[in-house]
Amino acid sequence: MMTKKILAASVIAAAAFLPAACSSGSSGGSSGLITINVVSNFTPDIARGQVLDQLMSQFNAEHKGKIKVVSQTSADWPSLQQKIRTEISVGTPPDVFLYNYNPSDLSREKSGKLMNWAPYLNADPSWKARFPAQDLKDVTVDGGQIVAIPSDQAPVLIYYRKDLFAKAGISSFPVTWTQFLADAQKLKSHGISAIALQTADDGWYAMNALSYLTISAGGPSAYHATTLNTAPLVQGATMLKKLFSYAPKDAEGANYAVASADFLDGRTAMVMDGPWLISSIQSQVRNPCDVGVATAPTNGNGIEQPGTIVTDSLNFWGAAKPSSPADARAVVAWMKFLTSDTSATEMGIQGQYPLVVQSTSSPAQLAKASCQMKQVFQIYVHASTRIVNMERYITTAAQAQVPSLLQGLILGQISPQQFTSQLQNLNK
Amino acid sequence: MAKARQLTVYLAPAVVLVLAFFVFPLVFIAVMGFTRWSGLGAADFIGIQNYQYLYHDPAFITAVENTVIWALVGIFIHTPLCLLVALVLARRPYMWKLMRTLLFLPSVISTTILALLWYFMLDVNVGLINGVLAKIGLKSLTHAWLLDPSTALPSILVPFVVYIGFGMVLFLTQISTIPRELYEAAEIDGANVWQQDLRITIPAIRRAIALQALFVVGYVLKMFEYPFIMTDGGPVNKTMNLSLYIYNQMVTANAYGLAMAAGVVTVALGVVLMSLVLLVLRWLESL
Repeated sequence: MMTKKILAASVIAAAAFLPAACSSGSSGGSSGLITINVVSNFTPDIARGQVLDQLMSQFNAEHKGKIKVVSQTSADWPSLQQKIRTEISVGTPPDVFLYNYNPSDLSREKSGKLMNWAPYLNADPSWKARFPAQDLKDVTVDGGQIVAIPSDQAPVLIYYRKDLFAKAGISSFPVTWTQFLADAQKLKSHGISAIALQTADDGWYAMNALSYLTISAGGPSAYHATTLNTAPLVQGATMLKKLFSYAPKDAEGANYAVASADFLDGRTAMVMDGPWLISSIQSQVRNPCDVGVATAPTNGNGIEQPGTIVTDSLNFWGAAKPSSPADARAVVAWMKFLTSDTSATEMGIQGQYPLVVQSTSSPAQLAKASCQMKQVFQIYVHASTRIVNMERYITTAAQAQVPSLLQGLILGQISPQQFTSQLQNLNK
Repeated sequence: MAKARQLTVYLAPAVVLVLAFFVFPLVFIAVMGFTRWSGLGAADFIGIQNYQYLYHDPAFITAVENTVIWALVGIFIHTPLCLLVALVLARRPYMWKLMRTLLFLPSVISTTILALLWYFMLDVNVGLINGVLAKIGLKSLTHAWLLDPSTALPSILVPFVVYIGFGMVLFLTQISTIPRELYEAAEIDGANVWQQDLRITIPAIRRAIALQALFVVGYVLKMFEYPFIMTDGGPVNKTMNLSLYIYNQMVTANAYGLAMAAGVVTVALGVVLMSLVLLVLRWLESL
């Protein structure tokens, strides 16, 4: 009798749980409305997030009752990337997601779980032509499948506080590293840290500086995804160690939040970052236009071409393989809208986030850009060479060790030569 | 026969859960520890290469050492501190209930919050510790507690040591079960408070002490928040522990196979440490 009761209870419980477990999927509801979840780090508290929300509202209004795009955001980029990777691994990638391309790790592109955009790009040559051909080639896998749409490749530039420069008696931004060090010393003598750096998280600021220093020493081919043990990189590491002596006390061990706060709160005169910082500058710096933008100095010996800039990784929009032709059309419609001339201009100017897709901005539109964004556009458009930050292109095993290698370098536990050779050894 | 069948039915859900959420994952991890897998695509069998890598990886060796240090600090500093406070509070001094509550409060607060709290307290620029030292004329003692390789590990151990609430309450509960007559008899015989604690209380609660030691070992094996939030395992991996090492290998390096091999080592270390605690307890009971 007891056994029968227990068995009956188990069956009822299973009947209650099974429908909940089986129900899933955000697209293709019974009403015919297709919902697309867009996963990114465009959180609504920053300019690009606000523009994305506006674009989504616009798109949803235009496709009312047929397609609805919903934003799912996370500010923590590394965790977001890991979450996306896990979801791809279990076969349920997000409907649309933003991820960073790494030629040393094409596991996502070759997973076989991402949407093939090639038929849709080939069917609309004018849309395809707006993307850099090399970018599309980077995400073309076996069989000519183009598994992602290029999004952005943010320029890494130096944002500097003119008020602090003036306080130290510096009238213009240094064009050579020798001048930079001299100015850093002037700032230090006035109790101002010259440059915000960090070693924690992914050592973003430090690796930006190292990338620029290495290119200054050895030119655009000074480092490569597979070649790190080079003399220019040793020179770059030597100089990076020197730069840390002009950084705040907490630079060694600082993460992005701490290091960027050092700059935004006026404790540090310079920082090397992407255009997403502009949103924070506009909201947190008392006189935002007191912050100028410049390209990094060079060694002044002609090895590095003026106008060379380092960039963040190339980011792409990937998508899950659509479950129906209607879903595919909906995702393509959204992506075409997002990468349209109007949207790209809006994202670049109001969102402070230039996209790689070609866009034309009228003088009237450009006039609406923030003081920093105008300078970023100017530098980006006229850049002679764009080179991705070296850390973005090394293997994930090497990326995991970057913080401890940087700390070892700064604390004098390893020499610049050991730094580069260990980085090379890990980069397999 | 019917009784056996009933027993089976009652035990079945628990057995299924243990198999599904403990045994199977353990077997999965053990098998995957012999592979190279980035989390996507197929896993490649590579034999014992992951274990060979771990053996030669200074960061992993440091992680193992630090985990053992955490366990030793937990057993020989944290647990005696819990016991000492419990012995004092068991005597019900003035405001003992308030003290018990205040000391237990951190146990109900998320470890993440506590780690953030100590991170800011120990910050070199805005930290309370350095601020107080500077204010009382001891500026020479201010330090980059979390950034200096020689002070980083002791610094992140501080919150682990001082938050004694759980162990204290465990001991207090056990102490409350000791018959009062034993203390009365000892008092009549002339034993003072400490002699009573040494000869009556501690032997009576020795199993609770061993249990607390086991809890501590289990806790340090999965301790993640303090090293992750306060130092991210740095500087130069000086505060790395096994949980953080596994996290870094999985999340940053995408070396799932290596992370799982490290997980197997963690389980093995846990078994060794807990076995040692139980052996010591058995030896003490035989005395």
